[in-house]
Parts: sequence; C-alpha cells; structure tokens
Amino acid sequence: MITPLLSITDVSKRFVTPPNMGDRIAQALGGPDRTRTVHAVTDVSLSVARGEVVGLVGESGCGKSTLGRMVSGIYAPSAGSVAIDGKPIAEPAGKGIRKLTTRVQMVHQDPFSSLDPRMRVADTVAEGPVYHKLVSAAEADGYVADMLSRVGLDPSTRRRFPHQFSGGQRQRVAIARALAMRPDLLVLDEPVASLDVSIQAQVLNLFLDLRQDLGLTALFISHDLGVVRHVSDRVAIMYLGRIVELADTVPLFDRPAHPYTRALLDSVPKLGAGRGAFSAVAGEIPSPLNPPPGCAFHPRCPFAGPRCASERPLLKPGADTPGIVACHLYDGGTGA
Amino acid sequence: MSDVVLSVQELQTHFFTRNGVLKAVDGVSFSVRKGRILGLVGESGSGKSVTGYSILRLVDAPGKIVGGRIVLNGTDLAALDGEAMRRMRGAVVSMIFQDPMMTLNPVLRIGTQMVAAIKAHDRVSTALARERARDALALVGIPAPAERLDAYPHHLSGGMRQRVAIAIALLHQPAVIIADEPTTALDVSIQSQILAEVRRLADQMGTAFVWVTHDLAVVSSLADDVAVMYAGRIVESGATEAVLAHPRHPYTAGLMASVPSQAERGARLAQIGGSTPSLGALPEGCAFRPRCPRATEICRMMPPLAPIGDTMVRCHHPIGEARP
Ligand SMILES: Nc1ncnc2c1ncn2[C@@H]1O[C@H](COP(=O)(O)OP(=O)(O)OP(=O)(O)O)[C@@H](O)[C@H]1O
Ligand SMILES: Nc1ncnc2c1ncn2[C@@H]1O[C@H](COP(=O)(O)OP(=O)(O)OP(=O)(O)O)[C@@H](O)[C@H]1O
Ligand code: SF4
Ligand code: SF4
Ligand SMILES: [Mg+2]
Ligand SMILES: [Mg+2]
Repeated sequence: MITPLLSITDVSKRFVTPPNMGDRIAQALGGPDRTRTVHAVTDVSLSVARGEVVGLVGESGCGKSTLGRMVSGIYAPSAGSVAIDGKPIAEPAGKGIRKLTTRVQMVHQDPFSSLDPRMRVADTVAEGPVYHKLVSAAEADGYVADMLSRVGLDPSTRRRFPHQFSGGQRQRVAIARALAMRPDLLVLDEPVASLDVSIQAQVLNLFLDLRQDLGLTALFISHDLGVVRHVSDRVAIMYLGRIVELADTVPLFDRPAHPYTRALLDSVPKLGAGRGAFSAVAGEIPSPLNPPPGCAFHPRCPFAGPRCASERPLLKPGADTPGIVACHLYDGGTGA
Repeated sequence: MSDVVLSVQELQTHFFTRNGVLKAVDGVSFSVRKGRILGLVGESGSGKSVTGYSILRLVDAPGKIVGGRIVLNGTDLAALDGEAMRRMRGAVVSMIFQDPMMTLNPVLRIGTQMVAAIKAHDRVSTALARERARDALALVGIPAPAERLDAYPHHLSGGMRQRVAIAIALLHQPAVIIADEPTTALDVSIQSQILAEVRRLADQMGTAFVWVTHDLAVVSSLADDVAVMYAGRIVESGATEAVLAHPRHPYTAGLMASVPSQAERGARLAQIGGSTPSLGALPEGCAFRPRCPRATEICRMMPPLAPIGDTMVRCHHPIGEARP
C-alpha cells in the first residue's frame, strides 16, 4: 500500500478552560471543581492521498477549524498523531508547539483578520519563502509577482496594503501567501464563506485551476455543502468533534446514510426546490462541553432507539452505504 | 391594492461624507402585501440594509433620506414626528438584525426585556405581559418558554437568541417586519427551523416581511416576491418563481449561474468578472456596465426599470431579447 500524503490517526483535541477567580475561591472553600473541558475533536482518523481534495463539513463548533489547525501544526493534538508522508508534522515543545515542516499551509477562515494590515502584500507573500530560504531576498520580488499573477492578481498591486483590496482579492492574497511556501498540502478553512456569491465563484474557479495546474492536495473546510460537493473528491461529515460519515462525494450526496448527513442535506435551501420546502432537523446543536452519551446525535435523531443513548456507534462500512458511517442502523439496529 | 401594507416609492438615502455624496439608496420602489414575503437580495454594499433602516427611519448622520415616500399601513411616514415614529416602531413595523444582540440587552433577563417591550406600547399588568411574552416565545418554537423568561441572553445559543429577537419583533403583531440577514450567521439546520417558522407566521398571522439576504436559495424557498439590488437601485423584481426561472437582468443571471449547485460538479463556475462597484466611483449610465457581457454603447445611459412580461427589469438588453 502506498503511504498517503496526510495521515491523521486517532487524533483528539481537548481545550481545558481553568475556572475563573470566583469559582477558584469557591472551590478552595469546598465548592465543586469548575474546570471546563471542551472536547473539540475526538478520535478522528483520516488519510488524504496525493492530489486528492477532501471536504470537511459540519455545523459551527463541530471542530473543523481545530482539526485543520492540528493538520497545519498550529495546535498539538491532545492524543493521536498527524503525519505527512509518514513523518510527524509537529511536536509539543515546552508550553508551545514546534512545527517540523512547512509542507502544510493553511488559509484561514477570515480574510479580513488573517493578513497583517500594516504589511504590504508583497512582504506578506515573501516573508515565509525568504525566511525558509526557498528564494533569496534578491529573487523575492519576482517570485511574489509570479505568485500574485498565479492567483489572478495584477502583480503591479504588490506594493499595496490589504485594506486596498476587496474581500475576494484579499482571499487571493492569502492563497498566494500559502502557495508561495510550495506546500504539499493546503488546508483551506472556509475560504469563500465571507465573500459575495459572484466573488465566491472567482475564488472557487481559482482553486479548481490551481488544482489542475499544480495537482494540489487539499483539506477543504466548509459548512456550505454546495461548495464542498463542487470541489471535493471525498467528504467527511463531522458532528460534535467526530467524523460520522466519510465517503466519495457523488455517492454521499446521492444516498447519504447517516441520519445527520441526511438531515443536513435536507436543511440546505435549494434553488428551484419551490417555496416552503423546509425540512428541519429538530433540536439544538449540543454543547461540546458536555457531549451526549452514546451517539452524540441521538437527542435530535428521528431514528434513535435505546441502544443509541448508551452505546457509541463505530465508524465502519455498512451494507450498501456509500462509505463508512457511525450509526447503529447499519450495524445491528438501534435496539428499538 | 387595499392589502398593501408597505409601499416604498422612489426612496433615496444618501450619505454625505468627506469624500463626496454616496448614493447608497437611489430611487428604490417596491410594495409588500399582507402575509407576503419580499426577498431583497444583492451584493455587499448594494444598499439592502440602508433600505431597511430607512423604512424604520433609523438612518443617522452622515446619512439622510433625501427623497421618496414610504407608506406604512396607510400612514405616510414623512408626516410623522419623532415621537409618532417611535410609536410606530415595534407596534406597526419592527426589525430583526443579523446580530440578535442588537435587539437584546446582555445584562437583562429575557423576560424583563420582553415585558418592557410589551409595556412600551400596551398598558397591561406585568403578569399579563409575562404571559404574552411566554406565548411569543412558544410561537417561534422555543422549547420550555416559561423557563427561558428567566434566562440571560448568554445562556442561549445563537439560534435561540435569534428566535427571541424574532419573538420580540412579533410581540405587537406588527403589520411589517424588516429582517436584515437574520439567519446568515446560523447553521443550516437552525436556519431551516427559523425559515419554516417565518413562513408559517406570514401564512397564518398575515405578517408581511421584507427579508434581506444574499442567498438566492433562501429567497427561492421563502419569498413570494424578490427584488434584486445593485449599487443602490433595484435592477430586477417580480414574483420569485418568474425571476428565478427566467432572470432577465444580466446581473441576476450571473448571480444564479455562479451558485455551485447550479453547475456540473468540478466544472468551472460561470463567474461575474470584475469586483463589486464602489459607490464613490460609479460608471455613468448602468452601474453594472463594466462587468456586463451584454453592454453596448447605449448602456452609458441609465436604463429605466421597465416591465418585461410579469417582471420589472432595469436593462437596455434584457436576456431573452435580441441584442442589437
Ligand atoms: N483555543 C480554544 N480554546 C478553547 N476552546 C476552543 C478553542 N478553539 C476552539 N474551541 C472550541 O472547540 C470547539 C470546536 O471549535 P472549532 O473552531 O474547531 O469549530 P468549527 O467547526 O471550525 O466551527 P465554525 O464553523 O464556527 O468555524 C468549539 O466549541 C470551540 O468553542
Ligand atoms: N454610516 C455610513 N457612512 C457612510 N456610508 C455608509 C454608511 N452606512 C452605509 N454606508 C454605505 O452605504 C452603502 C450601502 O450599505 P448597506 O449596508 O445598505 O449595504 P448592504 O447591501 O446591506 O450590504 P451587506 O450585504 O454587506 O450588508 C455601502 O456602500 C456603505 O458603504
Ligand atoms: S446511532 Fe442511533 S441516534 Fe445515532 S444516528 Fe444512528 S440511529 Fe440516530
Ligand atoms: S443596461 Fe447594458 S450594461 Fe446594464 S445590465 Fe443591461 S446590457 Fe448590461
Ligand atoms: Mg471554523
Ligand atoms: Mg447589510
């Protein structure tokens, strides 16, 4: 078997928020321990082959960005490992984390805050490659011009500051900055979420072009199912920190197996579906501070049975499912 | 027509800035009937929010309503003084914002805020007001509404807070609710719950809505009618089905074509070239001209909003008609 480019193995990330001053005093006086633990990502395994684009979908707070940050070496996993070509991408160092590779680059969620407003875009794009000696300082200017034209920006704009660009142009600068590091893997975190529809199409086309020209491998994070369907080869659906379904894009959208995937697909308003065609998942998104036991989706699931509240379903292939799915319906029933 | 509850005619709202006059809304007209939902769509900066604020007369300096007429439930708003307008707000027209915390006070319990909002217009006992508040929460699908009255906003999720804001907007059964992208920041499963609720309120209580959004799919599933804005003007309007099935304005058509679900998977999307126009430097004539594939010389003159079939279109060369 060939080693995948990216292997994520049983990765978890917990954020521990220490109790506030009042709670600490109360605790010292015999009150309860108010340390809060957010289970942002739990036991996620996923591998991405060279040249593949995997979409990562799920509702706000389900852990998409956290997983993306672990893949980029920005966060150290609380458990499990992330490797590129079999080599770990980062290691915990003291209180922080030491990145071992520049081969993964991330484009962050918000193009308005991810670029340094006081730096000219030329310097923003050149900073990493010069520091890591991919290009010499003398070559940097030409290199930047090349990167900017690659993402469809006029190279003569490179002396400008971020605020002199529109949202779509800023997102192109962010992509150019990531590409300038010649990464093997791009992590794109909601690259078009903050853009107008007409500008969104420009950035998605840019991504499709780059993919064709450079054979990019990418983890594409989005909560927009239409966007993910358009650009991904495979899609992973996350719910409350875990992958609940993973399959090739076309069969997944044609015949989703997990009740949450189905509900999510039904919730998306569709052009031309007609008026009043709402099919909502009942209930609230639960808190990752306190995930429900068993299957985390059971308080909202129309198919939940007794087994669902107590036993956690495993992610595995089922009969006639498009890929792997974590649901008792495909693994012996819900006990109802 | 007698059941028109909101009519906006030739509204102009301009901002008088140091760099000149920004015509954020420049001659916008539409009307909404009882129980109907008008979707107001358009690119960022096209004037959707300013239109909504203008209807509530909530535009602050350097902005000013400089022209047009707004008739709400038979009352010409220009005839009202500040106090009379305040009495209209909440009772006859109310607004839901993208951020529910524009409506909610973070340090007050939900019940306290709702009781105050009720008493602002009706002389009722606190006990009765609490009952009405609880019923309003139940109406927008909040489970255990009686208990939620004692909660603070930060105890609730984003979706729940937005429902509370909608419940507050509904308290006095206003004739019209202006909703400014109220579900944009919410997840699809929660958005879907709220849209279903809004459609039910329009159908069952006759509330009219102006629903501002940039999401055409939301318009398609929610709105009876749609108006598309570009650079401060309406460029196309009509019944939702008619406009979305046969967009006539090149901008509307471009918007529809750039939605990924409309395209073959993995294929390049039809994209509108160029970038969103800056109001400070609009081209002469049709504002869409620099981005428009159908533009000709005559487009240097502003096209009028004219009927084509059942829809109104502001374009010299609408789609479906031969281009000279
Ligand atoms: N640095 C942090 N400290 C504490 N909690 C965090 C931190 N980063 C994320 N979290 C929590 O972890 C959970 C997952 O967050 P994450 O940002 O990964 O979600 P997401 O899926 O990217 O959501 P969104 O779609 O809103 O961007 C959330 O409950 C969040 O509040
Ligand atoms: N207080 C203000 N001072 C100056 N210009 C303003 C002010 N408020 C709004 N504008 C301008 O008016 C125009 C219309 O803004 P508006 O907020 O209505 O856009 P919108 O269509 O709601 O956009 P979005 O989708 O981004 O919310 C914009 O060009 C904006 O810059
Ligand atoms: S395991 Fe049970 S609760 Fe979870 S998705 Fe499947 S049927 Fe629903
Ligand atoms: S008037 Fe001319 S430039 Fe404007 S949208 Fe129509 S064809 Fe295009
Ligand atoms: Mg995120
Ligand atoms: Mg707005």
